[in-house]
Amino acid sequence: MTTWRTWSRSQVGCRVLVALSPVLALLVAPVRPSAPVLALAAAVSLLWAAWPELAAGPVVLLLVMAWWVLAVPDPVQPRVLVAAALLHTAHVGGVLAAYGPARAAIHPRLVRIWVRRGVLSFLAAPVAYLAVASLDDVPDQPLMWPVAIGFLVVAALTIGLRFRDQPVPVSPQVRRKTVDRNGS
Amino acid sequence: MNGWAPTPALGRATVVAAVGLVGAALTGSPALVVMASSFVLPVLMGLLGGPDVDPRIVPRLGLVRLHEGQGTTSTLEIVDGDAVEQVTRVQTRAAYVATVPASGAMAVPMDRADARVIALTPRRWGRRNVGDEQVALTSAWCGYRWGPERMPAQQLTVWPQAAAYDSTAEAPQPDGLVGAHRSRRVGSGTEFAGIRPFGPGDRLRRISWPVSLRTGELQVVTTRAEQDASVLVVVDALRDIGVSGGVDGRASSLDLTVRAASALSDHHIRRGDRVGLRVVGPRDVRVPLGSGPRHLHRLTGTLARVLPDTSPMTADSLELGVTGDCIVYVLSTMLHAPLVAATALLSARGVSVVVIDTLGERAMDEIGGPTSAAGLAWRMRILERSSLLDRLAALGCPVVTWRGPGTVDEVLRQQQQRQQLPRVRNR
Repeated sequence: MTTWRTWSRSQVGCRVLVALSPVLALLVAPVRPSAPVLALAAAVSLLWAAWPELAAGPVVLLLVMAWWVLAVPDPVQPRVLVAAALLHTAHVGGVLAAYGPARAAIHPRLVRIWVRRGVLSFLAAPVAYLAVASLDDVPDQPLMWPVAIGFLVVAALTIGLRFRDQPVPVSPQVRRKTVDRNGS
Repeated sequence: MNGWAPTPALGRATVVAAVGLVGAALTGSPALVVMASSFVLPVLMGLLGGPDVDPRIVPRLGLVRLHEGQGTTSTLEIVDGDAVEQVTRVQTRAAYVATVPASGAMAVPMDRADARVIALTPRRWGRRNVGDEQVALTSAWCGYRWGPERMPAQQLTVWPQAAAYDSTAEAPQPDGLVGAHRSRRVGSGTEFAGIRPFGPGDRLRRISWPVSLRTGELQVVTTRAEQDASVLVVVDALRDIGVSGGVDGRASSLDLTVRAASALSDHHIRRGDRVGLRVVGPRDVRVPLGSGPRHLHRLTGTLARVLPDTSPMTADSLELGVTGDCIVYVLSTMLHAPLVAATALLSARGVSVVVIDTLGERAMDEIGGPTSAAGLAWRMRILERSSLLDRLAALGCPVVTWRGPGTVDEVLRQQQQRQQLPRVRNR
C-alpha cells in the first residue's frame, strides 16, 4: 500500500499542482464561486491528484470552464488567461504525475521538457484571447466561430510540427558503449 | 496490456479541447475558446506521434552471483524503441535488497540510458528474486503508452560476506598428505623432530655433520611431516532466532552461523585443508571433504542456499556422519537436544569437536520484555540450554562464542595437547 512517506518529492509537487490549479482557476474569476461549486471542484481535484489517470481530470477541467461560461457575466478579460494557464498547468501536472506511481521520482529532464511544451501549448491562449477580444464588438456572423476554431487548429498543428521534438541521434560509439555496459 | 494504446492524458486533452471548442462554436462563448485552445496542441502532437512498431524489452542483471553488501545493476535494453520518449520502471521490493533509487521506481526520458539503471545491493545472503518489475513506455507528447509489461524476476545468488577471520592454531589431528599442519609423524617437513643414527634410505643432505663428528658415526636430522587436516563444518539450520538486519544491521542466529561457516571454510581452504559441510535443517545437505578454490565456491554456494527449518522439531536422534580423524565445528544455537546429543557422542568418541555458539545476544525487548509470556518461556529455554552446554563442557567438548578472528585458537591448542596424550576411544 502506498503511504505518504514513500511519495517522491517530484510526484508530490505535480499532485499539489493538480489539486490546487482548478480551484485557483475558479478563485481568480471576478465573481466569487459558491461554496458547493468550490467544494465540488476541490473534491474532484483531490481525486484527480490522488489518481492522475482517473476521469476526474476532464470532469474538473470542464466544470471550471462551464462555470466561467455560465457564472461570469463578461468573461473576455485578462483573468480568463490566468484561468486558462491554471487549467493547463493542472493538465501538465497530471501528465507528469501519471508517468508512474507516487513513489517514482520524475526525472528533471522530463519536467523541463513538459514545462517547455506547456509554455508552447499555452501560446495558443493569448492568441485566441486577442482574437476574441478584437472580435468582441463585431456583429455576429454564423460562420465566424467555426472558421476561427478551424484556424486555431491549423495554427496549433503548424506550430506543433515546427517545434516537434526530434529524436536524439545516438552515435555508434555511444550505442556500442551501452551494449558493452549491458554485458552483451 | 500489449501494444500501444492512447494514454488517459491524451484522452483528457482531447475531451477538454473538443468539448470546449465545440461548445464555443455552439454557444458563441469566447471564454471557452481561450481556455480550450491550449489543449489543442498536446492533442495534435500526441496523435501525430503515434508509434507503429512494438518495442522489445530485454532486462539484464549485471551480476547474478555476488557477496552480501556488494552491488550490481538492473538495466533495460529497448529494441525498436525509436518512437519511445519516456520509460517508467517500477520494481517490486525484494526482501533484503536495497535499491537506488530507494523506491525502485523511476520515470526517465528514453535518451538517458544511464538514468534508467537501477542499482541493487543485496543486504543478506541467500537467494533473492530481483528484477520483478513493470515497465511502461510512452510516445512523444504522452500520446500513446506501451504496457505496463511485467518483466520476470531473476534470481540473485548472494554469498555470505567473507568475514574477516584468521587463526594461528594448528589442527589437532592432521591426517592428510601435504599441508600446513605439523604432524606427530616424522616426515619430510621443516620442523625439527630429533637426531638419530644414519640408516639405509636416508638422504645425504639430512646428515648432521657436527653431531656425526662428535659421536664418531653418521647422524641424521629428522623432521616432522606437514599434513593437511580434515575439517567438517556442521551448520544448524533448524531455527533462525532473531530478526536479521542485513549485512550492516543486527544478525540473526542463522546469519551468525552462515557467516561464521563461510569464514571458517575460507580460512581452512586457504591453508590447504580439506573441508566438508553438513547442513542440519529442512534439507539434509552434505558436501564431502574437498579442497581448492572450486570446492570453496561449492561450499559458499551451498551456504547461500541454507533455509531455516519451519516445521515442528522432532526428537529423532541425529547422526553427523563423521568418519576418520577430523576437526568438527558445530555452529549452532544449541537449542535442539538431538544435535547436542550428537555432538556429545562425537566428543565421547574422541573426535575433536568445537561447538561455536551462534545464538548471539538477544534483547528481551524483542519478545515483549522479561516478564511477558514469551519472555518467561525464553528464559526457561535459555536455562535449559545452559544446563545442556554445561554437560557438554563436562564431557570435554569446548563451547565458544563466535567472535570472529581467533575464536577457536585457544580450544584448538588445548585439543592438540590432549591429542598427544594416550587415550582409549569409544567406537
